[in-house]
Amino acid sequence: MTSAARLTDEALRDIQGVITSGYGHLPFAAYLFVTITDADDGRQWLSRIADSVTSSHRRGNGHSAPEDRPPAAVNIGITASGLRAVGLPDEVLRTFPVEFQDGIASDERSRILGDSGTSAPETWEIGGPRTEPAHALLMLFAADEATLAEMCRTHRALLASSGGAVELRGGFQRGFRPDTFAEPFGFHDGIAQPSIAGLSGHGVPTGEFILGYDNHYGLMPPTPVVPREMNAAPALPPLDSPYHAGKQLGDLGRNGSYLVYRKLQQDVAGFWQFMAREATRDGGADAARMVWLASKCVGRWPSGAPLMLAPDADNPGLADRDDFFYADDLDGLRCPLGSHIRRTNPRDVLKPYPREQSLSMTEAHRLLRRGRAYGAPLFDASVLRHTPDAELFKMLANLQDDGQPRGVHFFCVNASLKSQFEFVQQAWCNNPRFGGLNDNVDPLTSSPCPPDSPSRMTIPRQDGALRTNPLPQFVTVRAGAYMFLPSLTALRFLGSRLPR
Amino acid sequence: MTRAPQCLTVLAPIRPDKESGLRGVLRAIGDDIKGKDLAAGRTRPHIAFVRSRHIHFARFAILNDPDRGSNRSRLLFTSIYDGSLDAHLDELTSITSDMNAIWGACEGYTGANDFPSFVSACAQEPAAYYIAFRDETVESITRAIDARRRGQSLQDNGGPRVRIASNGRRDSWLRRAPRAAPIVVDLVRTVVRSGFGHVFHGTSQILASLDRYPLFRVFNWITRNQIPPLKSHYSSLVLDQRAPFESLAPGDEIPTRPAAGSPALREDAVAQNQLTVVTVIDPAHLDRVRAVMAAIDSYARRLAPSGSLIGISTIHFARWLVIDHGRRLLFVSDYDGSWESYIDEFAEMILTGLDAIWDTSFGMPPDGARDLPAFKRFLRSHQVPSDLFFAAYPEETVLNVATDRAQ
Repeated sequence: MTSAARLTDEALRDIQGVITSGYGHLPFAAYLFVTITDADDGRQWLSRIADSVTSSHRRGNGHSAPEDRPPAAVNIGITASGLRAVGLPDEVLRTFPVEFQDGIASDERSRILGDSGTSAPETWEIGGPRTEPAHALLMLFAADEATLAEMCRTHRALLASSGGAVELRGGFQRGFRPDTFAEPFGFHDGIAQPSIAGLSGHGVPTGEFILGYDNHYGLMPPTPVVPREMNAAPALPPLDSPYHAGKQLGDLGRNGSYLVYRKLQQDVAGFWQFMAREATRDGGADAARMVWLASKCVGRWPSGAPLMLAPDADNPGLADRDDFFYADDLDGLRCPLGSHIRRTNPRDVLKPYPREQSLSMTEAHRLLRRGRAYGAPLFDASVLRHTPDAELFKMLANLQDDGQPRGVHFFCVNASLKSQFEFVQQAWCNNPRFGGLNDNVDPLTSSPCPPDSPSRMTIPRQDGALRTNPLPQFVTVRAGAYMFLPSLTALRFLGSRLPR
Repeated sequence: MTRAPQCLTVLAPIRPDKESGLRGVLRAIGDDIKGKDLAAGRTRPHIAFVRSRHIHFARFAILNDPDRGSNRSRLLFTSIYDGSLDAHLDELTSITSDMNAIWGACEGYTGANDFPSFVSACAQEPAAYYIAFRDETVESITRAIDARRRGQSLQDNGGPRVRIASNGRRDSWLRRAPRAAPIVVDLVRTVVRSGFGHVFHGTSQILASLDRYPLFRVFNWITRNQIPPLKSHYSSLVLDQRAPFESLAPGDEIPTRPAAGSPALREDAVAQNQLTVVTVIDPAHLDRVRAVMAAIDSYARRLAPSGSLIGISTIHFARWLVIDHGRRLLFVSDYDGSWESYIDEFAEMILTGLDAIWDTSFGMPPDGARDLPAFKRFLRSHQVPSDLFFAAYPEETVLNVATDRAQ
């Protein structure tokens, strides 16, 4: 069912760059949340920034020479309340998926995502019910600090001159891609990314990530539309669907996508203290044991080397490897079934299904991750990649929280929030019975567990399973948003449309 | 050999004006399914499911009854139980504090003493019935859970490690042969009843997405049977994502949306969830429906290995009933995981089987289940919320049971 038709040059010029690229060459990122207080001003602001929004054109096919990559990038996501704020009528909003209309902070979505307790939207810094509404998000990416600062200045000036589009107070966020590629716990992150068939000629069907193309099921994902009488210049492309023939609808979704934002704060000291306690309990009060335990939770060693290829010890030579399967490890002796990477990407073993169906179901639930770290690291992650010794044990076991927030700005792109992001979160990560387990949720991203049903990491071994003490909550959700990533055409349409 | 769990399905007309009272009674019981508040609500009708020993699953739902009139409704009670029907009804009566508060709302109920004859008068037989583990009782499953918990708790407190069991155990063909043999009789009977054409076409439709089994691959190759291409790459899903569900045929039972957060709906909330769907059969295709049901029933009873219905391993029990003199198809399922993942797994494992089951009902999308978003809306629009849902081992998935069996 894989449709490998290449995206045309015209389409690439229309698709926002953040969909097709993680901007690995632009390590510095800033996130400006915007509240729109006046619909006319808001539209004017959208139309003014439309020309500076980075498309996928210069990304080419993924093998582009450095000079072909954008020297800096600007992308924009808009929430459902943002679309309402720029005056998009209800009849158009209702053609967006319900989960997008509801927004990530709604009760139903929180139930599905497990955002409760300290992760509940009521506690969020951005996007929750107790903060000013987040209507749009400007994502700025640069190769160095100076350029990023200059971009922030430019965009703040543009906002200031627009009047009715203002920066969300307290909503400014910084993100970065560290040299070590390590997230704050110290593990090399962002290795397994699905490739988009329309870009690389192989991989996951384009329609899993971009509206207007065939998806895993050979179908175009459902798309938001505008009625004919609203589709004035700059016009949206027509929707050719035979089920709505004769209505001359404008396709607002084509070449667009959906973006999930979650600010995930990580308790780095708590993570390693837990590993130290568990290592000691299991008779091995040493750093190697701690790193082994933590790696069993992740599914990769700190360098990024997958447990499937490096079962016994870290091997930085295998750091970027993503070419592995679980067929030889049905019982999780090498990579535990409950580990983070086996849940988020079950590959060929989605228990109890056969290989072909597992691969197929996995393909239908992939995410393009576009996250960045935030906050100063609590320790230098590169020490984890050296041979663990007594020194390292002392350092890790004695890590104390310094009160500084740190974690990742989790971003992911998908064509369906419900059947991709929410599905992975609910059916795989937060499922204590994933793959026949009993009481083990994702040790890294899990939501708070009720006290009477704690989660224990289960690590199968030849001589029986090792079960940890109840896992503390290492990650807390601090902010969130569901956003529409309009095509450049759709952005210009949204920026110019006059109310009927 | 243990007798496989039986299923009981009762459809009883509700007396005019008794519906809302009955719903209130059922919801109150549903909220207190484990009997925790029993002491507090002594005066309130109650079913002490917590005391039952032989009920795997039970649910009450209120369905519209358009054949009797637009304002009429009926009570659906369906349960899965061990042992005989008489013993089941005895147990049900003994754990129900006030039979009259529930059943008295139904026409034809004359008192607890006549409950068995009332039930037999409105009981319906399933056209197809699937059981994940034919030889497991509530008792054996809960015993295995207890044993596992004891082992784990010992280990968590410093005891020896629990051996990890592989959950891939399969019954041997030799053991399954006696159960499989009567399939020939089934086939002859079904062909006589429904006609060869319907049996062949219905079965072919199911088999089109089962190329993963060598036997079916050969059949598909010989008959040039395959999944039909999509008519359109666009979904036929409605544009307005908040559009209310609409009736698609006269007599179509479109339920009103359940109050959000209704605890008795219990969907996506715990390991086990429930689905009840009522669709209207196109009268021109009733024979096809019966043929497809017979094929599924025969497969499920005779061939399906433990814990797997054509590879789908998230169903504890499922049954289809052709009700109302062939006018409607009722699907009742007790399954694991979220609604979304359940339907996705169905689509992955038996895509055209879904078409075979439901494309004879009104409202199926033109591209059938291959148009998954539209198919999901079709199911949603015909789904009836349960007012009361009981599960004896609610945190146990089919895969968990399989693992415990292998210990």
